[in-house]
Amino acid sequence: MKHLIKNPRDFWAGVMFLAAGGLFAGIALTYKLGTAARMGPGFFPFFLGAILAGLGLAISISALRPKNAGPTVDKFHWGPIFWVLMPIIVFGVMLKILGMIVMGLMVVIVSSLGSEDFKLRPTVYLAVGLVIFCSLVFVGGLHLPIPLCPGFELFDKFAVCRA
Amino acid sequence: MKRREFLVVGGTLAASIALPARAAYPEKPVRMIIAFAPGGESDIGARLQQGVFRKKFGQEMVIESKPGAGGALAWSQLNTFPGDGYTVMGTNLPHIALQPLEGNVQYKTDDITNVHMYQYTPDAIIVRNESPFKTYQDLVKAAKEGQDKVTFAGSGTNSANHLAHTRLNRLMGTRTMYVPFKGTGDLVASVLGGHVSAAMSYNTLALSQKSKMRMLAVASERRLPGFPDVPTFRELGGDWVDGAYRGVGVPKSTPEDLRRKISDIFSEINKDPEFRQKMADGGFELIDITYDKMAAFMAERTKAYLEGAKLMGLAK
Amino acid sequence: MDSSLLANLQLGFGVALAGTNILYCLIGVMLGTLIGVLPGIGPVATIAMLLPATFVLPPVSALIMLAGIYYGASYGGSTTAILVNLPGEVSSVVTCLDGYQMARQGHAGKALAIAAIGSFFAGTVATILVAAFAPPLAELALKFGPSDYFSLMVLGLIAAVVLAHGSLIKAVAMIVLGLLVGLIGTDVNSGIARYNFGLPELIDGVGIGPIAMGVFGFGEIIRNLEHGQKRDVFVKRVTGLMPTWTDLKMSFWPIVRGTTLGSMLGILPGGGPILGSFSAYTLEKKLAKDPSRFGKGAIEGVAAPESANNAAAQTSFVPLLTLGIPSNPVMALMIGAMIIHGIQPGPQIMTANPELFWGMIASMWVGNLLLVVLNLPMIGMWVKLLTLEYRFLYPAILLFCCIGVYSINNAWMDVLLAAGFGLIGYVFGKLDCEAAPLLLGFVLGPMMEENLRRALLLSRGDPAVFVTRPISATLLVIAALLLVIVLTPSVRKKREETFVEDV
Repeated sequence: MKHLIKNPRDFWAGVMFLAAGGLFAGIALTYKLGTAARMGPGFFPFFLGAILAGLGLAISISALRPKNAGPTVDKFHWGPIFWVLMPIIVFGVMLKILGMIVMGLMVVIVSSLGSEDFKLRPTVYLAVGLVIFCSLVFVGGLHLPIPLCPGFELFDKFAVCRA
Repeated sequence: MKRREFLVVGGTLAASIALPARAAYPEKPVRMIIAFAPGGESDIGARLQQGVFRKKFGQEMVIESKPGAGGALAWSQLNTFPGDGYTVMGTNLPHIALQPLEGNVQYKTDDITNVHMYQYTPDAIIVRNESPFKTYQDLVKAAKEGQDKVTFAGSGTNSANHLAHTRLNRLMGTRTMYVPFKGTGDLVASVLGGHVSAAMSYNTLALSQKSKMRMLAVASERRLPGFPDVPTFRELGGDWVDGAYRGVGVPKSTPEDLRRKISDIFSEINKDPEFRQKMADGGFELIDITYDKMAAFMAERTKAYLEGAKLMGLAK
Repeated sequence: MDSSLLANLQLGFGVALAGTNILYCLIGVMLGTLIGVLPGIGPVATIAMLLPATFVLPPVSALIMLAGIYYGASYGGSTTAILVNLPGEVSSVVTCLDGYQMARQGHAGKALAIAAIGSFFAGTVATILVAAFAPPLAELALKFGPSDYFSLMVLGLIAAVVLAHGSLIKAVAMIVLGLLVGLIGTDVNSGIARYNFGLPELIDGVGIGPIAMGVFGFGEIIRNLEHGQKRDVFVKRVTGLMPTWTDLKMSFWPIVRGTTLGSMLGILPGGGPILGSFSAYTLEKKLAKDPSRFGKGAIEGVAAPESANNAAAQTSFVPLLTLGIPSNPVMALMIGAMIIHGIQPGPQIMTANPELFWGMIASMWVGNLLLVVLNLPMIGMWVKLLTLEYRFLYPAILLFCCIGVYSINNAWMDVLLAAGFGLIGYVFGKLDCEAAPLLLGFVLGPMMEENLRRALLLSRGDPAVFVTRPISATLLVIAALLLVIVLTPSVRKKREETFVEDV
């Protein structure tokens, strides 16, 4: 298999497009297709999905030809993916419950762990500084409705807390 | 009363006895959630109320936009908020009646506890100045002759405008075509450019486009002050007084006395002369459906919407 | 016309330069720049929150300030695009392509300066255009019917192909993918929610914010981190804060052309500034002697789209001021602000409130001047920011992005979506798939389908409308020509490239 694929980046990109196109087109079939003159909600996405799948197939096939040879796909680094995306997801899920102060500290400190030269003390300073800055600018200054610290009536004057 | 409701109501009552300060509602900022994007009619209405609220009741009314799914995103969350009177939500008719019929949304019309309806914008047929249709009769005539050649732009599918168009077709006995747009702002260019014959919209559009468009008919009780020459649908032989109603809803767990209190507050705001003037300038017709009148009002409106929805094929 | 224009401008500048108004203009552009620079905090959320604060101001001052926030933000958005690959606004997506590369090579100062200069030139020209020709320009925009819009989208998409500097077919596939992602949400014509997997949060589709921030910002951060210690400082060497004479000469025509394209497309309600910046970039790349420099830090690739998006930001006031049509959510908000201040927005505003109309136009130019004056000295500071150790820079960016994405709609789902798109963006990078065409497809997809179906609805299913209407036909012819131009040289280039690799 491996030696058949001359351009792995193109090949896998093609597979990705094929899969995405197939998925969109497949789901589109569950909507009304209609006719070209009176298109239903499924018409446009079905054809786009089919085109995308076709393009994907073409890209994958051309990746098998020796004259299109190209570099391999670089290794996936799951470490950075985890340290960057995990705090974002936690932020999204927990913001309303724990508020921006706690979540802000969490995002900065946890994501910093993704860096190979992580040092606790400066990171904590950075986190505290940024959270103070964000609280003052976004909630204090711009009045964005972001919960700072739910559960503490104390902050109600500062912002409408229990969002 | 179910067990859970009993506990909730009982608990709140107990709390209200324990805290006599409740008589002083509002004693902290009230959050008003608007189910539409800032800048829309619902938002404008709330922002005009905001100032009067502060002036009369000494507290802030904080407006928070939670747009999405034509309002459904916010309305389906209404009952998850605490029923302490400090979270209220803007509600819109016919939206909260039509959306549940359509089946895409996760709330039912009965889930929304309306405490006050304060204004409406009547449905209206509007054409551009260059249009050959000078009167409603011209339009009916052309629609009868050309049938589907007459096209109406409106905001959204299965929406208030769509419903109004369906009624219009029944009233005229024609089958004109409805062309949906994303919002009222989007359809203005198409009407001005003559790409569609007319707009099925509200009086507010005619007002803001006064120098470029004219209104042929309006679904208000009587003729509008700014448009003394425009006939109402009643005069034209249809039993049609309708439009987009805007009001205030509260979470189900809100106790009766607070519901009444909030209703009174918005009635009070409606009486403010400066507010009345600004609303009138914007084309908003003020009404005053208080909490006591709400049940009867909703029953009557829902019946009318159901009829229209049947015509649209939305409901059986 | 001429003498009355001068009189009108005099009236306008009288209003705009009046003591308090110039102060509010300054506050507006400063706030705008601030929120533009902070990734994800968009002008819509900010203006919505600040609206009550403007109640106490006279209406003209309030609107001048709100307008300042709007174009200040679109200006500030380019700063983050250049510095950290985060497009603050959709229209600065293109700026990322070459601006960020310039920053990586230590030319951030130059890129920022040329963006400022280009924007100021564009802002000046566009303001004059608006002042002199607003009503006829608006009439022109009204000529565009659904079929014409559809053809314009087709042209825009073909132009998007040129954005890619790698494989052509992959760029096309990315556009199509973008079109499909754009279709997520409620279908305007049938009211059916598509591809929302039962989630009410997706009924309105995916926002541009989560996608841009995920694919561009988060994806890039992950990529930077995987290189580990090799990049403790983001940019080691910073050269030349200001553009040289050669840079200016190279940028002159791109700025002029970008301004022209941006001014024209900005008038069209919906998608104007985006189409403007994309097409300006495309045009420059096609005209360049050596197109291969684009995407690797070509200064024209910053100058042209930046001028275009700023010109478009000014001319997008034309439909608002002359017709009362909001061409984007910020404009809708400004209409709301007018009503709250007791001004009836609409075509009559020019005659009923001349001091407002002309005052706003004059203030646009004043605002642009203030922006340059404010921002040129700040370039040094921005560039300093890049010499910060990356391990401090990226957590800060992440936090701003989280808050920003959340505040667009106060929706936690958007934050999760952004994380998801971060992963997707990382995968794209691994597979050499470029994200800019995806984003253009994403923006144009829904408009394209809407107008296609509307056009066919109005023509009773007759596809001939696309060739019988003169505007549509012209646009399609241009699209076809562009397609030919796009295809020929790249085929040749591709062959050459393969050749090189074989050797």
